[in-house]
Amino acid sequence: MTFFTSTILENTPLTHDIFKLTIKPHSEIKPPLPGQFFMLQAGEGFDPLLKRPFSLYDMNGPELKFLYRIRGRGTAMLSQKRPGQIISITGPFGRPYPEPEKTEKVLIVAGGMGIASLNYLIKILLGKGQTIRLLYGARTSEEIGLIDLNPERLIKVISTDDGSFGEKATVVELFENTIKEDLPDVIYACGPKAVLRAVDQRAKALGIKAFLSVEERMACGIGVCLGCVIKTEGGYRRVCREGPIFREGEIIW
Amino acid sequence: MVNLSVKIGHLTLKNPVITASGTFGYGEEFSEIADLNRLGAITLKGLSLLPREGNPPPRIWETPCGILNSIGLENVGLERFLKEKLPFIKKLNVPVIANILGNTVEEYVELAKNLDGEVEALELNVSCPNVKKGGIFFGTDRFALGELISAVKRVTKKSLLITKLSPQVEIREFSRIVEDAGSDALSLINTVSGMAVDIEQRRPVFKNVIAGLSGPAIKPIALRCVWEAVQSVNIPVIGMGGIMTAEDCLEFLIVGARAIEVGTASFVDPLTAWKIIDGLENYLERRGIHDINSIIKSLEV
Repeated sequence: MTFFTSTILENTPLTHDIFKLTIKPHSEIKPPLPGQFFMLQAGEGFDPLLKRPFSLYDMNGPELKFLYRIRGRGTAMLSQKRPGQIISITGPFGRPYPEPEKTEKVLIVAGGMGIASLNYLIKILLGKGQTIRLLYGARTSEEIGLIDLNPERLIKVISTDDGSFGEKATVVELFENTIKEDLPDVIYACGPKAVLRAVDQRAKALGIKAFLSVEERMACGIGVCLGCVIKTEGGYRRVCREGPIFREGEIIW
Repeated sequence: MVNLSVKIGHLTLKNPVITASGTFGYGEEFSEIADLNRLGAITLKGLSLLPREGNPPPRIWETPCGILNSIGLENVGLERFLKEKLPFIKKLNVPVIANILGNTVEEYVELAKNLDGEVEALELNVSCPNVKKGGIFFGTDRFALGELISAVKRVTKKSLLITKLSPQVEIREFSRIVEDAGSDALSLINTVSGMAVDIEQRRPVFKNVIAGLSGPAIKPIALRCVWEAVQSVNIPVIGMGGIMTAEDCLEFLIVGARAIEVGTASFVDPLTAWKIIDGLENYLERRGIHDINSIIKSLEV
């Protein structure tokens, strides 16, 4: 079912402005894959009118988990919701991250809240025995706990904008340094446009496969409003349908 | 059992619930979600003779109880529509309304010639605020509108001809122009022109500055326009604008709309149209009314 209601199990702050939302759908849903997203009702009734798109952060049995930063009115309203409340949702939507070959060297680049979409991919790939190199640029040390950094086979380099944990650097700087030393076979990236653009341009120049998860304002999530398009070499493409994952060299920045 | 079927000209609809153009693609996406054949009719994304790229992003902006959009009628054009979209559409057991637009009378006529008989109805889009040429020029110019409808009507022999009006005209007068020029039905309203400003950059949110407002924010305007239209003409009126629930739909029917279109609501809940059909049935059963036609235009003033 594409449209379903769910009960909120937890909606707790992990940092001063980042929340983790766990919900339990009331009906069976189409099993989501890493990189796919759901549209979540932020308020009550018709204000705000539109649902908000959020990538799947984690899954635990039938429970879906999302990570979001309070950025505007919608996310502020979402953060007010309490366990036990009902929330209406549509999804899962979009194309997932394609899985790498077992032998491929995987590099994951997460800028800020990009970690929300990549966390579930990391979990699935680690579960399949893949070794992953993760570059994660957070704002402050406060945000380091958003992902489980303990697993073996997760080789990570972490930076913060303020130097409160790891290097004081952006994830783009980490990325530039990393690929000087060791070229991956495939890159997965999610984060602000500047991060995606840097990864895209470098991947294209080096001839490395890259999967970039992009974000756009979205109305329907199912591909009918044509509101969430981005410009690509092949013309405008819907982030919700042809995306949110795009290949290197595809997007016109 | 209650009767929900209504007649729009020579077309009989199973129920008065139609999906609005630009909110339903060509039906393919929704066919994965629910049974299209339960709907009264579906209206396809606005179609032009040649493909249109649409406007640059941002294309949507949320407002209180509404959305501003500036999609710019992105569409595949007639040739690809006939080749890639029509075969799927023809398999459906639901009346299909093709929404068409052009920059010139000739373009509208060419579209109508190619689509006549291929779909159950044509909806003339003369009211989109998001394209520079054509479209709304015809919808706001008395003489051009009449001439356009007459020209299209001459080549539309099998399909029903519907004309979709903007709320930004004198509705009584323009409704009569539509009727007098030979349109079989009238649909209204298209989006209301609006704008939004980025206060940090002190620039308009949209590259076109003006965009189209839809959603529950415009429902009272839409109802008033439908009210004025049904007072002015005898052809069937299809009402739309901010319909989210069966209760909203009933308001339009009571005012005099023969059918309604669900647009923006489908973005919020893709099953809205189906839920409205269920809601209409419940309403009639609860009130002991057997035929939906007995509530259409039943408003007592």
